[in-house]
Amino acid sequence: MRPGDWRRWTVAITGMNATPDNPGPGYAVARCLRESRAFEGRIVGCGYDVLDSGLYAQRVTDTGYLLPYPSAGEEVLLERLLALHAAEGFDVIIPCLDAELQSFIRLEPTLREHGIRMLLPELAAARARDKDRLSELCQKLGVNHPKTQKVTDPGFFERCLEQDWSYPMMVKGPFYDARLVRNPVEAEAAFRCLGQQWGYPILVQEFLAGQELNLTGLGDGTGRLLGTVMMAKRALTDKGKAWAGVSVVDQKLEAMASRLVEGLKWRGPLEVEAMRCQDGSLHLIEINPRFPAWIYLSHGVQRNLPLSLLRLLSGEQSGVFPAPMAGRMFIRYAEELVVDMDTFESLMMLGQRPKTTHHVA
Amino acid sequence: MQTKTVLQDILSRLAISPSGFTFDPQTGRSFTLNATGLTVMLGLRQGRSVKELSQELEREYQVIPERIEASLADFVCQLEREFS
Repeated sequence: MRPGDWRRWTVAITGMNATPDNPGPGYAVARCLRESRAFEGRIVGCGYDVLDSGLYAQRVTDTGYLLPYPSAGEEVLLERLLALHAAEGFDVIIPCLDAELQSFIRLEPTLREHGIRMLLPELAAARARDKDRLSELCQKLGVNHPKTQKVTDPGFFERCLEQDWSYPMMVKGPFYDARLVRNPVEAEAAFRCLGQQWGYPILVQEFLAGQELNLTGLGDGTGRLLGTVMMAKRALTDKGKAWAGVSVVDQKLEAMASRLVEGLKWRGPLEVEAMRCQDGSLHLIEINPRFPAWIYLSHGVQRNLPLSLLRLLSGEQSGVFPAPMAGRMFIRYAEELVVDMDTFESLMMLGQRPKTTHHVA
Repeated sequence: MQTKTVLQDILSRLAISPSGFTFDPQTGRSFTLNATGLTVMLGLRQGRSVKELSQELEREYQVIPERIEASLADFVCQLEREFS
């Protein structure tokens, strides 16, 4: 493990896809570091697709590389990461996508031997918050959670009315994406679409009307939840992602998240998604094992969590944060990065952004 | 008595600007108040009763008391419904 000042570390960040309607968290994580006055290190963007726009963002990332898709297997991923490490000298990797997390957890001991730090949960904790196991976890920890069931047969959507289910309900993919469906026809279409896109099992979940509240923070691995930032969505994309949001402070939500982090001994970033119903009750919808795409708000409320992650890894983080700040808004926008063909070619053919790129002004 | 507690809880947490812009730091919701609404909201937060505020509005706007009291009751119900 290379000693040294976290302020000058080289940090690799995955999840650099940044489509306007459903951005990955990586680009926002990179912005938190880049815009912090404390961080003077290098940021290496890692993506899975040549059109992951964060790979081209010169103001935020120092360079960009493609990684093999998780389906290629962990050996291929490890080989690629070690090759990039040889070229760039990673001090830290911050995985930002659900689908890659378990691979990174399994590779963590090997990467640590090569001097690469990561702040990740234990594999058992990561699995315990899987969407198809969340009900069990909530029952164990005494957390409200809407009724959820695995579905492998689309015939369920006709039969379900006889099994104490009613429409509308949520149909959810195993990693991402959820659709609100109002009848068996819509439900079967969502089942097939999500299955093709994300695989199985598909989950159905009782629909709860109310206000969605999200929380992000860092678990230190001993059961402590640090630096919580809470957000209420103010405007949604077609995919239900936040287009605008505002920071809030909700003690019930914080208490729920603390209970989950303590129960799981969570280590690393996480996002807790919850629904507050009309009667004031709070229900856990899901736990995402990573920073959320709205993590830039943490910089806005002076609790820069990606920076805190580096400090935790360095042993410097004391756990003391500025007071929570309600009433800071974010509004997303889309803009174009103009990229010359040489840069695109380099990413397409070599899987890396050239060291010096020539962007059109 | 319980209603009063709920209302006081709500009012104590709201950030109310002199412009009438009001923000709830717990839910993230915001809304605007007209001048009358602002007077009522600030009065309620100071602990004044609906009856006292009705009398003040009656003097200022010369509206029949029953109508003001009914409007204020609606306003309080709406606050509790939206923010509790």
